[in-house]
Amino acid sequence: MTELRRIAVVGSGIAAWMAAAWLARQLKRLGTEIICIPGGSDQAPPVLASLPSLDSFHRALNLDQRDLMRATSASFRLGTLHAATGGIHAYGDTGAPFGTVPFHLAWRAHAANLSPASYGDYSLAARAVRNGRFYPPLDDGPAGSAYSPGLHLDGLSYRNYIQRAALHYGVIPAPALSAPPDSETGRLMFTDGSELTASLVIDTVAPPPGAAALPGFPDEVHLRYGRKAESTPLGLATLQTVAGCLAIDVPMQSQTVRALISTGQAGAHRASSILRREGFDVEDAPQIHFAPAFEAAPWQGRIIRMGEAACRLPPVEGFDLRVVQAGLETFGALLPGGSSAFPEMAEYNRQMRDIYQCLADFAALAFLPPGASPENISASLRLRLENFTSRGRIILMDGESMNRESWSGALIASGWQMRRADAHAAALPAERVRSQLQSMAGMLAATAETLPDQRAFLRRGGFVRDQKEGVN
Amino acid sequence: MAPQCQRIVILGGGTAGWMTAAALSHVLAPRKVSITLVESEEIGTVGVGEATLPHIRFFNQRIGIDERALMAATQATMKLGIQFVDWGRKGDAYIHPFGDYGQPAAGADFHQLWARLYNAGRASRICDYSLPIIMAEQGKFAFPVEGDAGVLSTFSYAYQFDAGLYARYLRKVCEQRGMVRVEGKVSAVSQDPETGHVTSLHLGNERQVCGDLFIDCSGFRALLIEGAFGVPYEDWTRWLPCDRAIAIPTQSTAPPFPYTRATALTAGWKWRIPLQHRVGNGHVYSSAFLDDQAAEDELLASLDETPLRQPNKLRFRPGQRRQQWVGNVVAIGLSSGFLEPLESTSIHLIQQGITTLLELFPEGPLDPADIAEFNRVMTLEYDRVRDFLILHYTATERDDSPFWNYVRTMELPSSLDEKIAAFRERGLIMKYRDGLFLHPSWISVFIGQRVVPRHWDPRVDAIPLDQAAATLAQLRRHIAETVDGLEPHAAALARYCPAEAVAG
Repeated sequence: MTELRRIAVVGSGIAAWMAAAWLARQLKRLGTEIICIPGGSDQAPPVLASLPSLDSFHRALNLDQRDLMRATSASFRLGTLHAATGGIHAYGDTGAPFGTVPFHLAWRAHAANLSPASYGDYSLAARAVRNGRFYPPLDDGPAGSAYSPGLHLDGLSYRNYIQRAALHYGVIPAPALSAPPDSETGRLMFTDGSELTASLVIDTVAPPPGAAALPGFPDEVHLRYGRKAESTPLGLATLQTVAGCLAIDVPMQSQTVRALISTGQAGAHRASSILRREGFDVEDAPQIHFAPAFEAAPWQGRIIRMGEAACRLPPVEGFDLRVVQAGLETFGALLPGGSSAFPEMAEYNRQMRDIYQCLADFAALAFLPPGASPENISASLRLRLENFTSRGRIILMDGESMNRESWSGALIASGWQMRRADAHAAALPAERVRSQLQSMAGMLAATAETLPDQRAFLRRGGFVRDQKEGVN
Repeated sequence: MAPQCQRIVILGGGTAGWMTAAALSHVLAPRKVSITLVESEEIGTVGVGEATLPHIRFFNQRIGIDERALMAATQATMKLGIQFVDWGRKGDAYIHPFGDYGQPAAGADFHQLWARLYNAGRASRICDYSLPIIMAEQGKFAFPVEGDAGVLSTFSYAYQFDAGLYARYLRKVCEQRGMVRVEGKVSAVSQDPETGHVTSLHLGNERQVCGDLFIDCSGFRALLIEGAFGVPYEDWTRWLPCDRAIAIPTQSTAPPFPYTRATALTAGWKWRIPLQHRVGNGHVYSSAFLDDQAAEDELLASLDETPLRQPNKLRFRPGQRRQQWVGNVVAIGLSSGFLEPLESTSIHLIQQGITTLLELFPEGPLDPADIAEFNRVMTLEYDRVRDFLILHYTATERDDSPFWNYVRTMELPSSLDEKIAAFRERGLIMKYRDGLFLHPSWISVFIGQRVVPRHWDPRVDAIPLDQAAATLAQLRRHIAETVDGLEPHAAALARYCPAEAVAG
């Protein structure tokens, strides 16, 4: 009955092995054969960030979190510091709503002269991560403490780890292709002269999508990584502008990795000197240039583009992995039901377009000066910003990966302001709200004091590979 | 000085007017605003929608209204869904329930598993796997249980009530809260020469009511949104050709059933809504295919009980106002658009308008961002309801009248065309964040009107056929046994919210 006899995944990078492993595990009961065909680079960025939702991907693969974190030198990611404002966008709740009034609106209306008054003071994750502390999600913590962490992990080890999982789940490595896969028939021709037919091909290495520039982003970005041996508090990435470039610093176990994003050719030439000037060893890895873009119809015929082949955004907020995961999960909800006309395709493309656009909107925030209203942004981002700056209204669209709390947290941390207090928030009894705000902040401050340092937590909990165990 | 939004004037005292008044007076109570409702006893109200959707319960809760008192005062009955008779084919009947079908299997939605078994001749009609449907069919009722309590937490309920009594009840609540009601008929509207904003309403009795924000609940007349601002109306007759209605109450001769019935006729359909004291009936039809007298005859001939009154006739234009908030006028209710009551959406659209207005309620000067956002939200809501309504007409095999031939073959909005194809080919329901009707609603109408998926999620094929069939049979039995043990709907009403006995 099923049409899915064989799915071929093309690529040698993280996206390909994530796809292969996930498909092998999910489609096991259908008897679908998953083959993985080498292509593109088998390299990986020195550091990857993930959203909290990556955890559900790992659970779908039945991976042990501790084992995965040991193998990938991972630490828990709680949020991002926006250096320009000092604000932290932390995952999870900030404060608690006042009846039907969302917390950030009540905060805007009533927290003005309170001390402490910063938005992050009402988030346990933000308070904890500022000092490198960590806590596992609590069942019944105080208001402002509910959250799930993401991860910071080593890219190459993660690729290898997921590859091992894929092979464990029965993914069959295949030779390289001698010609591009046929989108109509699914015919694959290999360099060794053999041939196979695939029901579907997941392509993670096709040349980047369309030439049209993505509104809200520079036409072309240049990405360069540097490492510095230092031991900074774990869990908090820092987003800042350095010499006109966007720098994202991610703390790892024994070093900080910086991703430097510059624009245009001039930026490309300057990138390594900027990194060196600040004490970073510049990676030997090939320089990466790309035009931020996404493919509006990633599924065509028998070929589905996933990962960078479908959507490529600057590496803010852990969207590289999110792009792959969303592509797989959406496909999983729309598995072909047997018609070779693929009635699932239109819906897949519609959903993915929405998902990519939402990610692009969020990522574009890093490139926008707060308060600006440039012409060149997407209609959806314009709608979001107009509503937020007007009265703090958060608009969630179809295909959203980030929740309401993340949108308000990121907008506030990056310096966007709400012009007016929301009418309902303003009408709350001021004295009561202020005293509740103060007690929330006090409770979180006291709780944060009791939390362990993340390094200590990881060591004690067995999340760190013992040096004596040797390396991968 | 920038205008502040402190004086709110609601024009019109029908369902929309009093719902708006009740909600605003409650939610805005902590603020220094004055709310005035202007209405005229001379102008009758339409009393849209005697049947509601479950959302109304949350609305009533939010504005501090007690369910039992409300139900008793409005002769209300419980509503578990809508039964559609003769839609896909003459002789067909199905219920669109306020609740779920079955449970997901092997990672796929229940209807995927059902589609496979149905195509293999191993499943009965999908209605058998929905608790609210079986409850409705047997005339039983129980309140849903919160949380994860098996089949008794898989559904929701709404009311069937007398909308005139609902408005009267809300009026009483508002007056108790000290809200001002002004009697009078609008004879002229003053507007600011610069901004065009409405500044005051002149009433025939030489009174003048000034305001900062005006809510146009004047019904089809749309005195402000159209009269003062001339906002055009988007006509949807080409997709929803019904443009007339005749309503007539009849005696109640049997215990009321807990659902609304919509029976397809030759050029439209008739509703039957059982209340505690009477039954509401009506015929919605297309004047292009049926003249008024024939429509009335067809309705009267099909009534099960004795009429209590002369029929009440209505004309309408299906469609929506292009913008529902312009300047300082917000249209709520029939002034903002009209969709036939096939899925009981009229009161819901009023509610959505009120909720959205409250979310965006202006503190100081009106902000263009708020106005744009209100219009965006409401347009989206109307569009999605529209598509769902059109589905009932287009998913049919009926070819027994020019009306059915027209709707069966008419060109559809492309958004709907794609939805139908996706379901027919693979049982896919397009996933949206916003929009009133969720997956079970679409599934019920698709399958109830013979759009059965040809292909399904391959994961359900991995379940052995006999095992899957046994699971379904067991679920069906479990639902039937659960319903057997429940109280009759009439008994539940008598216990929970008995209304005063009145003659019609």
